[in-house]
Amino acid sequence: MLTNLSASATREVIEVIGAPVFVVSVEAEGGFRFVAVNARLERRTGLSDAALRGRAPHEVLPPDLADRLCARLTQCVEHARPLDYEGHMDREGERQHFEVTLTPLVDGAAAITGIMAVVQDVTEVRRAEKRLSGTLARERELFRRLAGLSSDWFWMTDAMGRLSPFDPDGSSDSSVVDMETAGQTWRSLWDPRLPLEDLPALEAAVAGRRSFRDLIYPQRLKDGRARVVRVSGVPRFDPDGGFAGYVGVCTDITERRNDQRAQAERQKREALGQLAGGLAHELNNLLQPVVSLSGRAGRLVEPAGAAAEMLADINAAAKAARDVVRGVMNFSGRGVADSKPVVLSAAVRQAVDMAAGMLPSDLYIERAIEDLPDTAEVQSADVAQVVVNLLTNAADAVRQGGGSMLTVSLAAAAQNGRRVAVLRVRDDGPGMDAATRESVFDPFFTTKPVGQGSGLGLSVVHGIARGWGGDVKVISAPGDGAAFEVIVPLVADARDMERQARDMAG
Amino acid sequence: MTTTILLVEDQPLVRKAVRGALEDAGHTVVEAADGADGLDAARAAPFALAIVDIWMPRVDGIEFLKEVRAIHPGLPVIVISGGGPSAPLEVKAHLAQAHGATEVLFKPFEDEELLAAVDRALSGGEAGD
Repeated sequence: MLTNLSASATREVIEVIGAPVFVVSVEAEGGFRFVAVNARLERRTGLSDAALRGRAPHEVLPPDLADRLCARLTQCVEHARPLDYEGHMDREGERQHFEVTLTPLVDGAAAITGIMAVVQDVTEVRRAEKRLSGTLARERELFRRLAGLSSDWFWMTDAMGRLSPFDPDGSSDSSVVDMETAGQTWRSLWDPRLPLEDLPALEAAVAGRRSFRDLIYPQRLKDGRARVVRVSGVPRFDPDGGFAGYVGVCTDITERRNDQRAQAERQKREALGQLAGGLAHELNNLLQPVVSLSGRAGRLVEPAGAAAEMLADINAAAKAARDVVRGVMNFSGRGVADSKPVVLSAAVRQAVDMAAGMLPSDLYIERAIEDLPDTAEVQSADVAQVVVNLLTNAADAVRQGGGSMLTVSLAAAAQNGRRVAVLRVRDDGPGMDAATRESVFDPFFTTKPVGQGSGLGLSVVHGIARGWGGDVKVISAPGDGAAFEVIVPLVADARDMERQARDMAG
Repeated sequence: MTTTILLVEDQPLVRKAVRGALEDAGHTVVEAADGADGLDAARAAPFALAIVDIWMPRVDGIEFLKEVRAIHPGLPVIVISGGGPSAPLEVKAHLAQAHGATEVLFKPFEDEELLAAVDRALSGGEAGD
């Protein structure tokens, strides 16, 4: 055993070990002395066997290194078993890292008389690790900053399809980790009031652990708003190849999609308007001789005869046709209009009174018409037509849905920096689905049985509102009633105009 | 009083109907099938009144209005319009009035409406003299 050998013999034995090694003796009084070191250790540490042999650590090593070494050696003796530790020493300004294994050397009486230390230089390994972790940290920071810059959401799911925070240390900002969605699945985020769109395709891709790209579906946010998102993802696997979930990116395309829809809607209406305008022109020209000639022929025949009656019917039919054409032209914004500023709230109030007389008496019409001093470039007759058409439509809806309440309101608002009035007609009828909402202003669109509605009423409202430079929109959902909002641009305070007129007259 | 009226209208059936109404009321009518023919007729002879469609091939009613002023500065003009595919009716009507149309009638109109407008145009012209 090493304990019986001389220092020189010990050195010869440890010289054959393929690692730097030193041996210390455990002194009776508790201290340690170097017995021998091998050439590998000499090369690694710059300490020579000759300089160390027979010396205590504190005699030959810097005090801090000697302290650390003696503490480990003492620990090894106390526990009486091999001990691994990682230590370091500074040599010529450079820190060297070592992994050291201390093995107690026992004599025949089972007393620990020495310790052999096998030293492994791990300086390069530690330096490489430090460089790597620095690079990783920089790359993570770079990614985090890029992700923070993006308006997209980056997401990650676990193997169960639940969304989990993207960044394991939780230091990311909200655009990287949407913490609100944590624990949710794609299905639980889906808004059940809206179509599934690509959600089945997304779920099929996830079930097959395939990557997917640009799938679209409507999501419900915590605050109840619905957002349409476009989502792409790739499966991720843990180091043993097990499925670990997905990682991907998600883009909110609600606005873009709304814009596209609105644009398509505008184009459709413009095309319809062109068509209606052209058609109306042709029909008006054809109706002119019918109206004119039937009138004149009526004066030529015997007044009370059958021919006179037929000609009167032809004339009446031609005028009815003219009214239909005017309705279509109003829709297309090509109607006959001579707009003079009228005080809108007065015109609306009058129109509601008139419309109320035409509706079933068991309907309750709640009025919230603000006294706006402003005028609008509209005709009272058009205001009446808009109010009557909207109230008639609302009354029909209420009758279908078993409700009994209509609300008419008028209030000022600002829209794109201009003053507008919002005329709102609300019913508690059955409401509309998305398809109905999209078509509700199309001419000849009706949900009523054949023969009970021309399908022109709301398209006429749309045409008149557009002719005013305003707009009309519908807010509705199935089971939730419907509200039509007509936006009317306001021109001036009527009192200002009166004042101006008086000033000019004076 | 017999007056000679220039009727500028590209639709033959409208021309025929309007002409009939005017002749029944005792007026003499000269027809032109579009604005270009109408201007030729205006250069060839004087008229008490012109009745002009807006939407016509070659020279339309607005062009006719602009150019007829150079020939007969005080000529009263009634515009009759069925509306057109290219511009809203009211815009056309405003344009017609801006270019000196006495009145704008929208088709289809009754003979009585037309004759009343003719009377107004003719008496307005006399009152102005």
